[in-house]
Amino acid sequence: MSEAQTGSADTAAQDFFAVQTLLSRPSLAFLYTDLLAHSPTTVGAARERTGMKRSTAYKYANELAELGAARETDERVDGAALWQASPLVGTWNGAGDVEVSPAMIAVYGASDRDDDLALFRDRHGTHALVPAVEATLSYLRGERTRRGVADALGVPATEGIAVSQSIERVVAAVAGVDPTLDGEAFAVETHERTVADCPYVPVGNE
Amino acid sequence: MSESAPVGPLPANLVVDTSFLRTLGGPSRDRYHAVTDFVRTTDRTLLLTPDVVEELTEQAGYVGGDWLGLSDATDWTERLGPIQHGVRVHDGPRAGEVIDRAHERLASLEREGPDQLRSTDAGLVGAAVMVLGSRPAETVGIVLDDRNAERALATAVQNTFYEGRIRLFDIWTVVEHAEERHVG
Repeated sequence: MSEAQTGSADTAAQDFFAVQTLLSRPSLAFLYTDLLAHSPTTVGAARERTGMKRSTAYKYANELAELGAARETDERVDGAALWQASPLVGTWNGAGDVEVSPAMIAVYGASDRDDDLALFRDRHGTHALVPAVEATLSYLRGERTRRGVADALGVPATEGIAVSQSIERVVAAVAGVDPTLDGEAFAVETHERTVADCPYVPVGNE
Repeated sequence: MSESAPVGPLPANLVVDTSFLRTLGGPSRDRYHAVTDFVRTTDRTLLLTPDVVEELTEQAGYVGGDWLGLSDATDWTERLGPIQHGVRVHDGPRAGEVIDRAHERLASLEREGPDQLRSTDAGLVGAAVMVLGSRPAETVGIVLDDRNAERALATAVQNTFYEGRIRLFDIWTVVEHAEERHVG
């Protein structure tokens, strides 16, 4: 194996463990998503946006650095270091393919702060958020209705509508930093007031 | 497609979808009060189709407002009876035909057989025809928070007597219209 191949494999393994950690800790995923959406930003600013305690925010930021999901840069604003988070993207090849993306991590991170996502997660399990994100993305691409999302998930209409509305606003908040949502095939036309309901502070609304 | 500003007067009768009621939220939301006060003080009526009533009954926990309670206790929220498929207005198609057109559009969008699809979205436009045929109203509104369903319903009434008489609104158009006039 060449050095380049070894480096690439190391990065993939690091990303794998970072994703695995983020998808088991909603609060960490929440801070990661905030840092990513607002990069470069200070931990202090992220703390204000997320409402986290100062000690928690710095502890999480350091954990993200250890995971390779974010790094402290040499640049400073008012004496505070700017942090840069990087988008984590990967595909899990099991019985079927699951694409992990910043949007997926963001939805999981929001699931402690959005009542409908929390209810959906509690009723169907954390893993159910994956098809819910995929079905909502197809709604946003104009390929199905919200009730079609409910059908795809095998849940009652109101629940499908609710979860698609919650996921829509999270996706809209991170669409600009998620490379998997790039391109002409994906255009989020979400109303700014829908995004304002999102647990994440939208970029420009600090 | 939904209408862009200026909206003009909103129709007196508004057929509201579960998706709209969900996003509107309950009494803890300012927009809930803006819309309900606007409806109440301007003699408008929010109309619930039987399918929407069924959805609200089935999973009330996902909806902030007590719309079924309001439909029992007030005259500005009302439950519609079963859709009369034979109703038509002037030379427009019968409600059942409009429902079928909407349902076909939705089935095409979802790439599903029409039999596999829920009838709630298409039922909104059928209810609107029924309201036009049974009340002294020149226009009726349908309000929802589902851009894809909205597009399919708008297409179903295109080039019929109902075009311009059945008007589709997205939630924020209605909320902002109500907020501009909210005096409460």
